[in-house]
Amino acid sequence: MEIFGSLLGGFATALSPVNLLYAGIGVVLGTAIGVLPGIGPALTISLLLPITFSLDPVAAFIMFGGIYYGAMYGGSTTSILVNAPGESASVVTALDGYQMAKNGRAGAALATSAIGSFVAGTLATLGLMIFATILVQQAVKLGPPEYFAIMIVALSAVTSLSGTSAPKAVFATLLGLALGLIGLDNQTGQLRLTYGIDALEEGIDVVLGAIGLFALSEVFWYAATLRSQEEHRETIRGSVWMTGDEFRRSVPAWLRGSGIGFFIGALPGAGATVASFISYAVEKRVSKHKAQFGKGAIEGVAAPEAANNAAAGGHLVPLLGLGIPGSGTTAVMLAAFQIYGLQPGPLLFSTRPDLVWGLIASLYIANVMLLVLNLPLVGIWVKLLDIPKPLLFAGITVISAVGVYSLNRNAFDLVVVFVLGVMGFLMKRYEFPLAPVILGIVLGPLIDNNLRRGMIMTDGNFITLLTRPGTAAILAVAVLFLVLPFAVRLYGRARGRKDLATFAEAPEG
Amino acid sequence: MTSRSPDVIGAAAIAVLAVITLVGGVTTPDPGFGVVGPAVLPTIIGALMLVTAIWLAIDVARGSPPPQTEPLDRRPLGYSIAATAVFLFAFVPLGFVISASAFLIAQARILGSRHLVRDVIASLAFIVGLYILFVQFLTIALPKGPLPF
Repeated sequence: MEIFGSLLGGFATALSPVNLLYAGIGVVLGTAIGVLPGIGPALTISLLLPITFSLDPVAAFIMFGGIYYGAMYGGSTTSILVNAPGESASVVTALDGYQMAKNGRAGAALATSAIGSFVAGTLATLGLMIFATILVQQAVKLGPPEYFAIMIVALSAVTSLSGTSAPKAVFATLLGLALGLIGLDNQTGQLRLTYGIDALEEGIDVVLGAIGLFALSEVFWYAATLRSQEEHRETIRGSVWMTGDEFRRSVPAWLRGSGIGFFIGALPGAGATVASFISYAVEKRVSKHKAQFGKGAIEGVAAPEAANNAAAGGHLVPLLGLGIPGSGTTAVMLAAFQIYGLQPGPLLFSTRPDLVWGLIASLYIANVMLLVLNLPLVGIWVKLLDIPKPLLFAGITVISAVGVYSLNRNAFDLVVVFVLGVMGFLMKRYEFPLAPVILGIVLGPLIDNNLRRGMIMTDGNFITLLTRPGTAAILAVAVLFLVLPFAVRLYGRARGRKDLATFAEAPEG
Repeated sequence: MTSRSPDVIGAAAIAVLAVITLVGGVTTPDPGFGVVGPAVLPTIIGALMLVTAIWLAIDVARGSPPPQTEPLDRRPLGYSIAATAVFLFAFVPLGFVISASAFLIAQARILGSRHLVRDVIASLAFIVGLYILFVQFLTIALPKGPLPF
């Protein structure tokens, strides 16, 4: 019952007027960027990092939590009305959501995704609270070898679950790790991979990675596909609500989506996008209305929207419990913790309970705020789509430049971000996943550190390191991650099951 | 047939990056304390990159389908990349206000906007808004360039 005492304390923190204000700013910003194409939560948090230097960390993380959850709510709106997902995690929502809108059921589709997001967000926050607490109790027993192994699991998962080409996904991960290792080695003071360029001594900040790979590359992408950009916007006819039958069909889909989303999200490395694809596939299998899928089945909207919200909650489990991020957005959040000199994990729960529990409590509050913002006020968000796209994308570049510059006041960072932007565009065009790069930048130095400290513990014997009981068990999971998707796809191909043959072949999340 | 796949160039590009990483790893001096030196992980990463380059090349040789690329709009893409480069390089010497206003108006036009008056008004309003937010409220200094603000 200790949890409830802590949670009450968290609510006391989260309900203070200042923190409520930041939660409110977070959910409004999050919904807006969720609706707008080209900007996602990882990028927004990156851009806000310099601004938050002057904020109390509690307020900053409450705002980040609101942005993260809000982006998942907002992404569905464009999927349904414009057939252009605002976030990759809402791609699958467009399949049936846009069809529902064309059939005149836009209101019902928006309602089921908003309420589904609320149900899933609330359940996932509950799950986060329980599992992060359990994880923290276990995590105190883990040493550097185990942390090293867990990070290998995260990288294996993100590699095997993103994209269609294995060598491309593995390369993306390695590229991220290499970028992360650039600069001063904190154990020996040696410079690594700087090639004599003084400006690289400080290393490449994950914020530069997020802005280059997620912002500038998106702008270039928009420019490159200018001719194929056209928009048919469906309008909301009637009220934003469901019929009794639609409601009855949505409820089980919400619950299944929540469960799938949370547990897939909690595995380090598996994204919200993967969660939404898998929950859509599951819904299609169990539904009594199989023929409706692709033509406007409400379950096909309810389940993936619940799943991507639940996955956002799930992602926070390894971040808060172990200090290991499992997605692009949580990787940037870890960078934010490091800026404040905080290390999430067991220690943070005991040293800064106000921060951890304030964040968890504010996630419950953010969900309530988001339900209000997205159900009755959905019409306002649709208006954001009236911003002319050329100005929007030009503005994204300007904000990116300001964000990058104010981070270190360093002109060289602008050059780095430009190079990463061009690289991100080429990688996206030739189907290399980008999320593993971001994760690699953050995990590179951590893996290096834990591997080397672990090797000191085992007197330089790598086999001893790998065969410690904890490490061996964790690494077995990594192998499972690498093998499982391929095994499922092979089985699917052999049995002629198309849904399994393309298992987990989702774009990056 | 396979030579047309852009993945051939991709594999070559990976190989180049792999060699760069490998060279950087191998040439890292090891001060000789600790069990695993600072050069080890970069070297392993470089070597594994080389493996992925070969792996991708084998995939292509085996006839794995090339990435499904849409035809590029070369002109707006080229101009956007050029405009972004000029903007980012001019950001400090010319200052935020000059470089960002010029870039916004130019980039909007490159991306197909044909409303010059609207773009100029919107850009200036956006620049003023960002300036007030950063410089006045957050007291984060932005580069001034030749202007007094």
